[in-house]
Amino acid sequence: MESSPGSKSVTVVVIDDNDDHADLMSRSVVRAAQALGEAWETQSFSEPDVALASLPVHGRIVVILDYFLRNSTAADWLSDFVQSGAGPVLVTTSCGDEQVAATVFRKGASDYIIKDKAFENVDYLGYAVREGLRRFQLVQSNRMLSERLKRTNRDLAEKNDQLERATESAHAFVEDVAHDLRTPLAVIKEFASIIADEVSGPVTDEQTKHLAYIDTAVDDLAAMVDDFLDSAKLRARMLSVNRKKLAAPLVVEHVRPILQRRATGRGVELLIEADGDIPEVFVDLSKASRVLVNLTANAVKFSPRGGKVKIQVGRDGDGNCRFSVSDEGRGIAEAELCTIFERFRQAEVRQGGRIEGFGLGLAISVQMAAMNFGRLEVKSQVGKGSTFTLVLPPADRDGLARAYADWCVTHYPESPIMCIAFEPTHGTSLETLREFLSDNCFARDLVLEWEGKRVLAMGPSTDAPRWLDRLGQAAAARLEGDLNESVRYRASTPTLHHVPDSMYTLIEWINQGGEVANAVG
Amino acid sequence: MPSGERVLVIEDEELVATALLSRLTAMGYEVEWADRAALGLERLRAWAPACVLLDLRMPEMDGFEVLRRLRLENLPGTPPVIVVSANYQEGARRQALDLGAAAFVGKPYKASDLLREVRRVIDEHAEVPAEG
Repeated sequence: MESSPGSKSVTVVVIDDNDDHADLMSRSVVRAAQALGEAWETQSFSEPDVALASLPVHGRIVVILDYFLRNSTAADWLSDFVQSGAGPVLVTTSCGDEQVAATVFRKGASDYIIKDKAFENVDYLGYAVREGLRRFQLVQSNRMLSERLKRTNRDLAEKNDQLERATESAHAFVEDVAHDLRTPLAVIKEFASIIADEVSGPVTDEQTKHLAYIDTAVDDLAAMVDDFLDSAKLRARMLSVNRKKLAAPLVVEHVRPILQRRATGRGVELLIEADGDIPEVFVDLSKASRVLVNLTANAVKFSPRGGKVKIQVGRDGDGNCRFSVSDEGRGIAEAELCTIFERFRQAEVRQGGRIEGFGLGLAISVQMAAMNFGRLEVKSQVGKGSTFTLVLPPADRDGLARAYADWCVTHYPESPIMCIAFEPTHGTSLETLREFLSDNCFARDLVLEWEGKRVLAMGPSTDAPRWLDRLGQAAAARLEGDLNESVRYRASTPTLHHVPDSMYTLIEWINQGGEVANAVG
Repeated sequence: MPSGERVLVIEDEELVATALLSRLTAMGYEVEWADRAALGLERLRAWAPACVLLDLRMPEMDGFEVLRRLRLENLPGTPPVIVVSANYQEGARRQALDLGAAAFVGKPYKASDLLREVRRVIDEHAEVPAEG
C-alpha cells in the first residue's frame, strides 16, 4: 500500500451550493483516495463562509471550491481561503473557461478542475488533490526556508557589525597600551638624560656610564613597544602598505640616526657601505627601514663591546637589491640555521609568531620583507658572526613579476599548475588590469614557466576563460582542469588573500607610472 | 644660549611636563606649564610665548583640537607649535602637520632632538614676518 506524503491525516473540504454536486464530488474523492490507497476524509458545505469558519484545525486540508456559488464566485473567496493557510484550494466548474482559470490562478488557486471529468475519472481527481498537497507543502517549506535565510542573514550582518566593532576597539586598545607605555618611558629617558647632563648637579663618570645603560635599556623597551604594536597589527591585518619607487640607499638613510644610536649605546661600531650601481626599489619606506632597524638591533645585541656591525647595500646577479647586516658575534650553528630558515617560512604563514631567541623583531621583519615583495636570508659561521640579508626585487616589471612568481612557488610548492584569480578592487580600474594583462608577456614569459612550475596570474575570475584563450590553446587546455580548483582554493585558503596583495604591488606600480609600454618583453 | 625666551608646555602628564620644564629652564628658557588644553589656549594668548610644546592625547580637549582652533582663529603673532606625542599611529604626525604644527617629536624623545627643534622653529618663526 502506497503511503501519502506526510503522516498527517488529510481532510478534503468540498464547497458547492449544489448539494447533488457536493455529494457527488465527496464520493468521487473517496473513490480517488481508495484508488490511490489513501485515507482521505471529506466534509461538504454549501456556503463558503460556513466552510471557512469550520475548517478542521488538525491535519492537512485540501479545499475543493466551486466557482459559481449562490451570490458570489470562487474569486471572491479565494483570498480568504489562501490567507487562512489551511491548504491548497482547487477550483471547480462545470465547463472549462480559460478566462476563469486565469482569474482563479491569479487569486491563488492551486489548481483548476472540471467537474464532469473529476466525477468520471478518479485518477484525474486523485492526481489533482495529491498534486495540490505536494505543491502546497513545497510553497510552505520554501517560505519557511526563505524566512530562515532572512533571519540567518540578519544574524550574520549583526555578527559582522559586532566583529567590526571588536576589531576597531582592539585596534584602539593596542594603540592605547602602546601610548601608555611610551609615556613613562619618555619620563625615565628624559630624567636620566637630565641627570647625565648635570642639569640637577654634578655627576661622577661612573654615574654617567650607568645613566647611559638606563638610556639604552629604555630604547630597547621602546623598540619592544613598537614590535608589540606592529605584531598585533600584523596579526589583525591592520597594517596598510604604501609602496613607492625610490633609491635603495634611502631605505638605510631613513633610519641612519636610529641605527647609529643603537650601535653607540652598546659600544658597537656601525659601518654603512653602499655600492655604486644599485637598482631602485618599490617599497613602503617605513616598513622596509623597520626591517633594517630590527636586523641591526639583533646584530648589535649579539656583538661584543667594541665589535663591528656592517650594513652593506648592493645588488646580486638577478638584479635584486641586497641589504646585508653582518655582525662579529658568536654565530649560529648549522642546525639552528636550518631552524631559522624554516621559521622564516612559518612566521610568514603563521603571522606574528616568535622566532625563538630572536624575539618578535625578526618575525616582524620576515613579514615586512614579504609586504615589500622581498625575503630574508641568513648566513652564519660559528665564532665568526652572522649576516642577515633583506633581499628586495628591483622596481621594474620583470623584477616584481619574478618575485611574485617566487612567492607563489614558495607558498604552493605542491601545486604543479596554479591559476590565481584576483578582483580589481583597491581602486584599480578594470581597464588598467586589461591593459596590463593583454600585454601578456608577464604571464607567458615569466610566470607560466618558473623553476619548472607553472604559475599563471590572471584577471577577474569571470574573465579567466578569455585570458586563457589569449595565452594560446595549448596552455588553455592544460589549465582548464585546474581553473575551478583555484577559485575554490581562493575561497577556502585564508592566506591566499596575500596573493592579490602581492599582485597589487605590480598594479600599484603600473598605476604610479611604471613603464609597461617600454618594458623589456 | 636663549635668554628668557618663553616656551609654553601644554601637557596633562605631570612628570612629562616636569621633565620638559627642568630641561628647558636649564637651557635658559622661561617656561610655563598648562595641564589642560583650555588653560593652554588661554595662556597662549595672555602670555605670548615664542614657542608651544603640545601633547596630543589629553582629556576634555585634545591637541588636534588645539591646533584646529588656532588655525581657525588665525590670529597674528600665533607662536609655532611643536607636537610632542607618544601617538605613533600612522597619520597622527601627518594630521598634526596638516593642522599647522611646526614640528612633531615622538615620545620617548632624545633631549638634543627636542631642543634642536625648539631652537629651529623659534628662529624660523622670527625670520618670517607674522601672517595676518
